[in-house]
Amino acid sequence: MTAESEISVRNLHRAYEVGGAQVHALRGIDLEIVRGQFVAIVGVSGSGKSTLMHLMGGLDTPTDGCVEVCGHDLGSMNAKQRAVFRRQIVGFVFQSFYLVPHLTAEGNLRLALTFQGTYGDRRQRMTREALERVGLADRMQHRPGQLSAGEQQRVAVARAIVHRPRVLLADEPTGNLDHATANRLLELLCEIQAETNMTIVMVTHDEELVSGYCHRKIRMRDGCILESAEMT
Amino acid sequence: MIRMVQLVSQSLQGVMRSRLRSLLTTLGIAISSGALVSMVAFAVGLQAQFELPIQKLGLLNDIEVRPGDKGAVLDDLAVEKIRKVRGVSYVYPDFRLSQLNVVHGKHNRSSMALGLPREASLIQVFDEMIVAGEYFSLGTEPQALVSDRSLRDLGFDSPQAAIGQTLQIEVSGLDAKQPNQFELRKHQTSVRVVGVYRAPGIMEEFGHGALLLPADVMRDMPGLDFERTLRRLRSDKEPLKGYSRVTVRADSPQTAFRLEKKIAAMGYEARAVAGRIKEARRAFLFMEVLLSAVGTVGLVVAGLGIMNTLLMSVMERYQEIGIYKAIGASDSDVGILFLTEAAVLGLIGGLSGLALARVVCWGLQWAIGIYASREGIEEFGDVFRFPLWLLAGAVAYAILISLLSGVYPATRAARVDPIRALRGQ
Ligand SMILES: Nc1ncnc2c1ncn2[C@@H]1O[C@H](COP(=O)(O)OP(=O)(O)O)[C@@H](O)[C@H]1O
Ligand SMILES: [Mg+2]
Repeated sequence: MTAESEISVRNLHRAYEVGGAQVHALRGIDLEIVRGQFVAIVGVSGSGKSTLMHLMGGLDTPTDGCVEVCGHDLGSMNAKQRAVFRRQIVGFVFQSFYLVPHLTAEGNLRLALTFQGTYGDRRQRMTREALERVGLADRMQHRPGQLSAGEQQRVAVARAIVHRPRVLLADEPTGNLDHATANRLLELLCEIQAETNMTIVMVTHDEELVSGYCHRKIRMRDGCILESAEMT
Repeated sequence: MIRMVQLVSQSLQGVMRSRLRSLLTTLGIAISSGALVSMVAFAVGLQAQFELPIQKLGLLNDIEVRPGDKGAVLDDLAVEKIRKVRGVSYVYPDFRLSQLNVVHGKHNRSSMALGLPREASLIQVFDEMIVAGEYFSLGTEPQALVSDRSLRDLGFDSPQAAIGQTLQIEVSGLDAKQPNQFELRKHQTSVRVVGVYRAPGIMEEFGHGALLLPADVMRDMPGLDFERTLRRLRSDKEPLKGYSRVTVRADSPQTAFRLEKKIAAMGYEARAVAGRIKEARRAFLFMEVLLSAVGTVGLVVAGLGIMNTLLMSVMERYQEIGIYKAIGASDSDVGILFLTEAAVLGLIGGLSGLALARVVCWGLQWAIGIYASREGIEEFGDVFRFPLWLLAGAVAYAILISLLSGVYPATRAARVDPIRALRGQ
């Protein structure tokens, strides 16, 4: 692990038990991601992209191998510590937005900050800033049902960055968006990345879309890394 | 701690999402806790019906004092000494005669008589009981209070008619001047009626229509010492001189028990009247506990309703719980969210239960009132009573049961695996 390495994955294995049989989602992944990079992970469906992402975000635990994020060794943490890690170090964006439907845009962000231990004026200010950053300051009081898909995903991005994490993990964030909207979202992610020097790992199966935006592209297949290419 | 409060306030916003289901669950709690409250309120009301007259008469403050076994004399000197003890509001020799003859014109009635201190008017102890006229005045005028039950026997048409009338009183009795020498003495005096009282039936002494006289008027009547003389003859313990019985009134029921001990330490036999109703209180307490237990059955059933509602909620919000965890909630955070919902259901249920109980009891009270008046019972107290401890206790109990019911669903929610929750679309 080099000094500037933000995420370090070594010999990572993850097997699931399905009806007595072992399904190997990851078979020995080695990966270094440098701080401030925008990394795209591409590959066909079922190649283990989401599994890798969940492991890097401390949502899941590996069968073997180790993951280190920002100097935290996830393998040595218990559930409680992983929760603290998730709320401080990383932010998640998902394909289906996963906003809490009965809460407004503002409410969704506030909930995240509450879990993270931020309250009062500070919470109010951070919520507003994050929503302003994604261009939705005027939609604060709207519920997910009152927003378009693109807007919902921007709220989700705001929720993922509201606590200023060092790493943003996005799992097919453009999967439910049309082409134009998807491009706008990627532009937004790039801007945020440039402003904050956040490390972004984004999973997608749409290689073409991501090519113009990312610094590095990692291709996966059958739980292994096929190739890793720096973009210019 | 702040984190907890913040989480709780967050989850409050979510409680009313599935309104109909929450409403029905809450209704279960409301009905069962309402039933519990009504039943206990009934027991408390019953106890109050029993104790209130005693309380009104200040009897809970009273201590009966008799001469001690070891010959402590209860004379004026002793009375003076007791009067000076801290917490004593007044002391009076307790005179009672089981029989005297009251004459008004051609009417006459045989009656019991009790001596009471004129000073009692100063602290308004008996005001509650006076239905016409007033209590004794200070001074020496021979006065009397007659019971409303004796009015007809004495030829008075109404309480007002008796006020200011003069009654003749005839007493005869045995006095013992020496240990074994009795003297039959007759005594006649006239008294002016200053008031008419109505006593609650519970107080036996008053209940049979006793004539009430100022203690100083009774003090010279024959027969007062008869009972004591008999005791003296039997056991040789009773002192010859002094009063056979003195009533000490404490300034509060709490002080009464303290004074009881203090006076006993002075060598007298002392008994707080409140002690006598301890037994009854225990019975009432037992009744309240029993009714609470019966009511608890209902609450527990309602608690199962809460458990069911919350478990359904955990299923429905499976994915949402996954999201919570992805954005930083720990297992215990998720548990707290669900427990809060349980507590809120309990709180709302408990509060509506109180309202329900009030309405139902009000209706019952009204119905009982009608029935009673048809039966010729006129004055009727509150059958149900809702002291603050009952209200607060019932709500707290509803919340507690709800929280307990929430433990299992909350644990289930806390254990939700975020990966599975977020994958299953
Ligand atoms: N919870 C699970 N139980 C069983 N198999 C799983 C589970 N999660 C993922 N898998 C399997 O692991 C493999 C990789 O899945 P995933 O990481 O979701 O791939 P991707 O995101 O690239 O489509 C798939 O074959 C999938 O069926
Ligand atoms: Mg996937």
